[in-house]
Amino acid sequence: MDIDLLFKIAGIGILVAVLNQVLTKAGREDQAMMTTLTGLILVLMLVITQISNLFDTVRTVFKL
Amino acid sequence: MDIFKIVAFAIFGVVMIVVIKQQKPEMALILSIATGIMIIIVAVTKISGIVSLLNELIDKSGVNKDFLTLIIKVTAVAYIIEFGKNICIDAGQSAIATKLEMAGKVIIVVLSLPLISSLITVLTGLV
Repeated sequence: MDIDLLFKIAGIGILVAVLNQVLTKAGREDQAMMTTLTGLILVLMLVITQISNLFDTVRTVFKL
Repeated sequence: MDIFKIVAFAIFGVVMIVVIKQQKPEMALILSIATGIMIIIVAVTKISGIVSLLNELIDKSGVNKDFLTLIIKVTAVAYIIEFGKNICIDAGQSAIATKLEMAGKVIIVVLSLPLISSLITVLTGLV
């Protein structure tokens, strides 16, 4: 129940949103897309480790 | 008690999701997945006590052991399928959710085939 994972994901989300706005205003749409993608990949990595953690827990608990 | 922590965690997660929903809907989806995973991990770790108690009871009662393991397997499959299905529905992909549910049902039937066959053999033996 570590709440800091939620903080991390929310922080990255807000950061990416702000960066996106700044970059689009500065006229660099491609870099804005790049930051969005990197932010998304970073968050996905965090969540995928949590998903594998969940599946391991289920496997050990239910002795699958 | 633990329940307060879980509810507080869920409410906090939901608030964060709503905050991010306007700018980045995909980040909000990932955030809801993460919140769901956290809560289910706590719930599943609590189930291990129940499973061990059931095992002891079955050992004492001397009933055939693989019935219980089958029940536990089926509940595990149901748990995971429910988890995935709700995420798909949250993301708006109800078609994938129904397919996932159908796959889950098929897996459960396949898991319980030996039980059905043993039941039938018992019944034919009675007749």
